[in-house]
Amino acid sequence: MQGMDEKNEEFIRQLTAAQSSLWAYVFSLLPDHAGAQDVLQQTNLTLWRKANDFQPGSSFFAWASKAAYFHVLTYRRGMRRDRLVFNDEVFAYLAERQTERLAEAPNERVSALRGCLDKLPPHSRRLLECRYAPGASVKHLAESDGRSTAALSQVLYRIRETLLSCIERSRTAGGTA
Amino acid sequence: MSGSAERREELQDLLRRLSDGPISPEDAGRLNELLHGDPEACELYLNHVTLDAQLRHEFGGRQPLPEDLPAFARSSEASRVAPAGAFRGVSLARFAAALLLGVGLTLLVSSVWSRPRATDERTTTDSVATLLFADDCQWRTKERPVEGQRLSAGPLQLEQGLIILRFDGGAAVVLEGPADLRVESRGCAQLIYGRLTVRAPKEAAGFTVRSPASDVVDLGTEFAIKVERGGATEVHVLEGEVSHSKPGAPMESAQLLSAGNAIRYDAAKALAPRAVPLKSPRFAELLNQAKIGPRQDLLLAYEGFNYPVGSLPLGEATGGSGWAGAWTVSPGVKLPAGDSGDMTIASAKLRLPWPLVGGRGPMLEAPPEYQSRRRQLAEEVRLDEDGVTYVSVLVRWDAPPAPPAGKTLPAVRLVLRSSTNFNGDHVMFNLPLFQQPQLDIRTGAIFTSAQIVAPNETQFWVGKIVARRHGEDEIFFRVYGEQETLDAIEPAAWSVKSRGIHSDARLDLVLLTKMDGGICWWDEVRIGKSWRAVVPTTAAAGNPK
Repeated sequence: MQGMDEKNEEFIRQLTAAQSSLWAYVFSLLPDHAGAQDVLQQTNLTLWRKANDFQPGSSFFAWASKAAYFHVLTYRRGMRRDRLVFNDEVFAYLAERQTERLAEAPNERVSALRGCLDKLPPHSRRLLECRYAPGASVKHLAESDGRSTAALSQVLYRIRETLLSCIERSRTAGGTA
Repeated sequence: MSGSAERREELQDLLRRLSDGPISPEDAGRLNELLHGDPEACELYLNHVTLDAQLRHEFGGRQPLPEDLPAFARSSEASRVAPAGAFRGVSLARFAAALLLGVGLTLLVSSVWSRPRATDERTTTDSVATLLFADDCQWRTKERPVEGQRLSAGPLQLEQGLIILRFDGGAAVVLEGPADLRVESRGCAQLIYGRLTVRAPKEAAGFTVRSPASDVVDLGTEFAIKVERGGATEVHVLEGEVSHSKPGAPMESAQLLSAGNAIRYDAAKALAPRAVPLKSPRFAELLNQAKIGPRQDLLLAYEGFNYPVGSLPLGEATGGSGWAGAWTVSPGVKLPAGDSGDMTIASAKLRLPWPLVGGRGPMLEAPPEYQSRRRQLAEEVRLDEDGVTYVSVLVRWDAPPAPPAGKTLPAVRLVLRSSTNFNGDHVMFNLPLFQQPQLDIRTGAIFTSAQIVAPNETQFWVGKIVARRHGEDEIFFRVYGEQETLDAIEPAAWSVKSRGIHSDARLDLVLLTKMDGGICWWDEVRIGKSWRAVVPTTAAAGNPK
């Protein structure tokens, strides 16, 4: 790698690996895609600027989620009260709980998801691929699929429920599905 | 979960809607009420939000495309050009460079996850298909669609000729005149009469052609449908299978028809079809018949840098066509130390693996000190009027090493700007050091591809600008590497595509810019009204040099 020392490499690797969890964290507290994207971007820039504060060997997500929490709070303060999805009490509970959840064995969570995706019927998996492909939307997918948006939305919800049950089973069993 | 089954059902409904897109303030308020003081409900909410994030990450960069299809018959999603797991594969140097640029991770992430922002959803275009090819066509309507034009739902009445369309749902279609087709949505068309051949890749399965006698639903295949003026309809399945049913009939009544079979409804009101011999050309055969060749007549401006090799004073760089003057430097700009202001003409610096016209003679060289040269177009590119413009250029950039943190990130660019509002809206086709193509329209409107292109090799850049007087402008950018086949027709896959742009800019300057170090070579700058004007790929066209 040109011009970057090993410490930087390790930092960027961890920052990259944490993106999915950071998005889940920010979006769960601020369920608005545009706002959550702005907050994630601010968070990433803060983490980059404060990279030297990170203690190698400690939990990267625990450290990064503090910056994310700060940026979500700042964003909330700039919003009108009537635009806030969660009141302070619900917000505080979700922030604490989501930090705990996401700090737990992230690799295991990814493995469990992949194992469960492999167990899905091919058409369900393909539907998810189409749904989560870049630029895809349920509305457009429903149009090309010839069904109503509500019907497709319900099908997708059921697939996600199946996945959640499978992930829960595999994690309880201690395996990776 | 505390409370009744109704509460749980209501929460599930809200979670479903939240996954699909932005929820209303009323729904948001109700979500808060349902989670308040209910740890079980909170857990359910967090489970779903977290899974949604994981799925976006998991599938966000996938490109499940069959390799055996023509590129334009694959998928319409711009960012699907990204290799599987592109984001996860971003090298550390590039990742850091993205941050140094100030782009921020979100731009990288967003091009992989690519969930449209709420604002994008509101401003998105109503186009559902693209006209890829139309030669010697006679239309029965006043409006004559042109190649590259994005099409909204509506009629296409072709008196004579052959056109190729790609629906945004992914299906590619050949329509042979005389024909009357109604484009209905990104996944549906109605054939009143004429002959239509459909090539629908797997992800476009479900593409529907409605005819007077039957609705035909593609199940991942290739088929032809022919409708006679009285409504008699034939369906020929060339590959895979389709389902067909009487218009408006329930889905359960649909019949399957597999490859090698054909049916005919003798009249629109015929209740049942009869088997007929399969007799229809394959999609590929129709493409061959179409004789897809270059359209030099649609070229607006061209510069092949056909000057003597060596140093060339700016005032003498007046070659090519479609320009209003010579190459210059921007007025008042202080040239960097070491840049004399002359043009440097080099030869044999590009490797051209493509059957491309030109590019093998002299070219513009940008030494390390070079920053930018510009040239005025004779005809401006207008974003305030309906129109389609394509841009292409050959580029090779021997990129410098990554700079220390805080320094400007090296990049090479082709930029269209306005001479009367130089710092206003522009169209910048940009390749930063982290090798992910970008579109830059203005501050806050920068779009970064998930695709990482191979560095330090010859690339062929193609840009497309779909301007609209009213409505969203769409800008596309595709970078071809040496290992990629050039598409004779506009492809489905672009490296990056804009979103939510509404601009009235009138762009009359072309700038070739290189930021901070490295050596770059450019050749064959083309601006035209058709893909085939700026991507002349066969020997049939005269060499502009």
